[in-house]
Amino acid sequence: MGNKNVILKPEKGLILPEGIPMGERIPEILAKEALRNGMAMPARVVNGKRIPVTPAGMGVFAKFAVEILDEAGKKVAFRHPLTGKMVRKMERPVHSFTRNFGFFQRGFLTNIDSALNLNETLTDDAGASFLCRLKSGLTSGSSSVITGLAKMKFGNSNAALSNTQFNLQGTLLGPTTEATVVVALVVEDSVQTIFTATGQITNGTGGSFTVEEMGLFSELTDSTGTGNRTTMMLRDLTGSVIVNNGQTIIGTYTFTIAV
Amino acid sequence: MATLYLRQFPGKRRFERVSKDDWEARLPLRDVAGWGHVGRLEADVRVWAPDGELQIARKWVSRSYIRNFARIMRNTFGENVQLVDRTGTLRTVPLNNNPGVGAAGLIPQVVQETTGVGTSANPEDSGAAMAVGNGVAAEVHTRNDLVSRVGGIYSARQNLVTTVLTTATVTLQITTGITNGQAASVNITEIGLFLFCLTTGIAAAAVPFSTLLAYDGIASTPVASGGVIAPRYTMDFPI
Repeated sequence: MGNKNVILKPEKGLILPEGIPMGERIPEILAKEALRNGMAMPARVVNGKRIPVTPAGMGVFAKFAVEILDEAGKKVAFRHPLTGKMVRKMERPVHSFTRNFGFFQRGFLTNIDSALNLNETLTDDAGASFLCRLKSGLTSGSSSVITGLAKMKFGNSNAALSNTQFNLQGTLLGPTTEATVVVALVVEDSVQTIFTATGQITNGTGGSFTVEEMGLFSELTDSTGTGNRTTMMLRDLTGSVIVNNGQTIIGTYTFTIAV
Repeated sequence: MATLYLRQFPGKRRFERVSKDDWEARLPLRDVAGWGHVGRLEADVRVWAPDGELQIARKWVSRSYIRNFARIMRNTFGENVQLVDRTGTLRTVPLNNNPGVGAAGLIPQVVQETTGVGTSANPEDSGAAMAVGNGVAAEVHTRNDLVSRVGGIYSARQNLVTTVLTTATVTLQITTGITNGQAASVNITEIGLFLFCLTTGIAAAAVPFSTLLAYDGIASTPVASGGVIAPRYTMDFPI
């Protein structure tokens, strides 16, 4: 990070709904209706933090947010790609687990025959397949684990989402193209878990850059135990967000899992 | 006797009697209150009579991934957080923070298990496991175990994971058939999905611990002596 005023901070503040139609291809049940039919839980306060209306049960829900800082580290307004309004934070629902995430889960859950060394083959951001040894015929030792922190990237392609994509599809914002990710727990109680994953990259390209996509990557160990594989788990289309030279874009994924 | 297909749709309290096709149909995804639905979880149970006839098929939208599932996700994206085993004990697993070569990893294991006992002869018999019980409690995100696993019918047997892969989604199904070995009928009221793991630095032959990933209370579902119940979780990771 070239600018000392820019400090990566976990996004502990919740991403609040902006109440605007996003035009997503997946229909949305609005908060009022969801509360009425039991598909969401009301806003509440936990340890002094306000938890907004969140989906109840049904699995995992997520949204992403984008913010931009100037060279002094101050949040600046940018044009919302859908509404055209100037905003300081844009948020949209996430629709983006890639095949890697599903296979990663399968790696945990599958029972394997003792005669087979059946581990999951994932695909890294270079498009190379690798054996992610979540389990193996161990005597002792070798492992199949994540090493290091996750990464976040921003790119300029608006190519449609596909779960067989393994990297962002356009040119990456740089020159440092992989942002370290900070995970922050917002709440974990008898009702739900909410956590955020945040990364930021400063545009040092010398010109403006139009971000169209962002992605969240895990760092996984391959079967040799020595290779670090950057593996895309989510990719989302942000819409056109202009990041001027010297400005920093902050991306935040927020996940909620609730009863 | 015809099979009774029952399904509870999102936002509805009652189970509806539906056709077999409607029971098997996938639900459309819905975002809720500005949140994208990225990890759909459905649960069902099917019950067979001792003679093999399918009696009841009941499906609903699961209420609850348990906090351990969320903790695995947090680890996946770089945090270092312990899992909680079914006794409530925190367990360190090297999902993160540099285990690398030489450290025992997260080694999910499943074994034929009797109540309260977990042993493993082969670390490659691993993965998820299902359990059923007859306890009654509300779903709680911090639950560690079933309320009352049923003796003789509790099981953590080999399960089956299938993947339906399209360009839009990966679907996993985890299920197992559990036979009621008791002399009397049992009313099942809860199901759970476990993952078997090892902690750091433990040799492969060590006893794994089990950690609850999903839990659902269900309408009382009788399983006759000698009958079979098959709880199942269906996970979708769509775009």
